[in-house]
Amino acid sequence: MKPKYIPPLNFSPVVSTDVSLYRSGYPMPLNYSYIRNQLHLKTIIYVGDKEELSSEYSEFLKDNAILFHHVYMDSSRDVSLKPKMDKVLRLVLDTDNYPILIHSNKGKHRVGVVVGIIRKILQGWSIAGIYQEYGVFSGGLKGEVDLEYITMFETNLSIPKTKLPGFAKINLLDNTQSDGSSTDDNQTTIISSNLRERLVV
Amino acid sequence: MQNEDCRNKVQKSVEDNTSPSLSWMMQQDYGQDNAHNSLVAENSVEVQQVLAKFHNTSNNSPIVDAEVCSDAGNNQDKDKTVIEENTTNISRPNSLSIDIAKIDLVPPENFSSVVGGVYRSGLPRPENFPFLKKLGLRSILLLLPEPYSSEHINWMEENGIKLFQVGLSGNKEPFANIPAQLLTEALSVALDPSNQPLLIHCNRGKHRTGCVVGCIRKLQHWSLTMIFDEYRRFAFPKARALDQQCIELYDETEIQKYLDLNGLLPVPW
Repeated sequence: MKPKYIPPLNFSPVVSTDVSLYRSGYPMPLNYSYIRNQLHLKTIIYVGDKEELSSEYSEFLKDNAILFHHVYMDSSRDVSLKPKMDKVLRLVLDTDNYPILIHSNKGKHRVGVVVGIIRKILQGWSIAGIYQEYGVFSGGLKGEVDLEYITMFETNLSIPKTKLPGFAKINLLDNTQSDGSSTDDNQTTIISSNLRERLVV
Repeated sequence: MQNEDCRNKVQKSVEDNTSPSLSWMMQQDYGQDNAHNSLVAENSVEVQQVLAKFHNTSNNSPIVDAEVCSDAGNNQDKDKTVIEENTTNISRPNSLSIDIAKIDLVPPENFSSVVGGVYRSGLPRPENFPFLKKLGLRSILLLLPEPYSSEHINWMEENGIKLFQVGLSGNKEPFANIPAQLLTEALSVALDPSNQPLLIHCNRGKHRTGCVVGCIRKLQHWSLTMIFDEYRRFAFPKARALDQQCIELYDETEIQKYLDLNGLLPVPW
């Protein structure tokens, strides 16, 4: 008996509250009907190193009106990784883009780093919890550099308030706080906790 | 010193061409000067003599007595007696003799029996050839797309072993794709009794070989749980979900029909 739907490698939901954020490995044609019928994606973010899309994938994206963003990532040792992470975070911090699937090739390491940063910066998870989740998908292999990168990652982003998804309201910095005057009411700042500690003197 | 006496007695037994028993060898391990963990120096005269006798064992198979072994080194007096008993035993016909091979038989990586005359492994190296020779292989099913080295080809020709090649690409997940048609081809070769004994192998004996063996298990009507369990055992720690998916999705109706037609099912153990 053939199964009806075949999820992509290492598929899992990341956030399923007010918005739906998913992670996986690279979708193959076998997985397309699952994505089409069960996920109803608006955006796919690819954090991998394959430069070209297969014709089947391009066609699938077009037929289902899915916006595709390729944020080139090779490994967490890449020195120019921060702006790429910021780009992914900006996409994730806009409700207009949902439902979103973030995928790499195997769905273990690069996606693991992105999800780890989302857990840390946007959801305030403990480092222990982040490590544990990373380990579930990586099978306990090859994680040290990635985990270190997540632990050391810092950022400071200005995001339109109205577009902010509900799950990401942990590390907000109110723009009216510092000197009593409000800056831009429409903007809020997402700031990583280690950066915030340094600002408080 | 009792140790000295023991060794002298045993030394005599060695010189008399009565083979060293295991208890004697363990005595040697317990060494001189009652130092528990000191081994006899490797270039010492006794060891050379023992090794010489050991390797000329076509007539002198040592009799290994399990009870004697466990007593070795604990009680010197007892050992003396035991050694004497052993020397008398050796003169009896060799009911418990063990044939010691002069060459090492080293199986290739991930070697195992699959079913009947079908074996699996990783890529064999020349040091594995003596082992493989013992299997009496009629053919080898090579799952790699690359050609064999001349070493392999020569060895196969020398031993009258036929080569079947069904090249499966070794791509990484999730881009690795094993077409059903190639699996069917591999299965029809492997399950043909006229090709057996047969060795299926790829590079590591984990993924491509694992997929083919998984499909054999489907033909044996194994549960998916146990098929995957076996796959994972050989692929550990690099088990691939998509290999297991490949096994799950493989449609065996065509190969089933072919095997039924030729009276080749059920696959005999």
